[in-house]
Amino acid sequence: MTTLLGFFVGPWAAVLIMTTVVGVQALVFQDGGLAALGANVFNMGILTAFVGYAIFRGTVTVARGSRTAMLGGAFAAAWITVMISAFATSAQLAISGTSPWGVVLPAMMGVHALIGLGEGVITAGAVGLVLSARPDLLRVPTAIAPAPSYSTYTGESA
Amino acid sequence: MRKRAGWAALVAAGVGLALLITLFSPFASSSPDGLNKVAQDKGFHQAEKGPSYEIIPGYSLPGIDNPHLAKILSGIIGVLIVTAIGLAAGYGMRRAARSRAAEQPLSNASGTTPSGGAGRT
Repeated sequence: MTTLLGFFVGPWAAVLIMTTVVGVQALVFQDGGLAALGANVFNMGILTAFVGYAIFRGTVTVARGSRTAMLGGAFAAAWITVMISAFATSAQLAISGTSPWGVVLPAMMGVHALIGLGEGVITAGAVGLVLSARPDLLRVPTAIAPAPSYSTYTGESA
Repeated sequence: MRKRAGWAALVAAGVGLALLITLFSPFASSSPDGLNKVAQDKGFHQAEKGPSYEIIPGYSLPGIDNPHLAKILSGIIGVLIVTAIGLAAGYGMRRAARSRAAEQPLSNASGTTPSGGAGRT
């Protein structure tokens, strides 16, 4: 989620948005928890926004306009950040004595390996749509921005 | 050239879409999320402490008999709150960037360069 957001608004704003969402969930909807708010912002906001953005930006640089490579990078960024998030959460649960490492780590990584696939498909799908319609909305340096051929439809002007 | 939507139009469309999607919230999966599932399977869900107050617990607006309607209304409330906070934060940051830009000539005269990153508008 935060990873995809970061592609459009950059990692800093993505963290701000995720903090708003998680904060409203905790304060208004009694979901996620007030005591766990810091952990949630760190695991699902800060970690995912910056790592995901770095992975995507890296692939965009290497891809040199290849649509397939960019979609692969988006998928990988989403899956990897879900796994990093799950690892961080497991570590916090283990260190706080809530659940032993050997129990919580394999369980969390296993479940989230599957969740990450769904997250990856949604992220790559969204990036694919934007590449076709408005590639200028992706927040990547103009020097490595997607080739204008993606937006050839602008030529159909009246 | 085909006219491209500006940021204001995109924001309006995004908020509109988010409100539209709340209509589908009754169809959301009722299965636990990844962490909750692991907590239940491995038996550390009892470590969770209950909230000290309740406003809209479980994403169902209290006092509404129809559970689907209660869920949709709570979704609309959530969208409106997050939108309001987002717009307020954006407005505040824009104002701050503008007042920083107004001070810029002075700091430039003293030889400092404007900081990168900040003040994108």
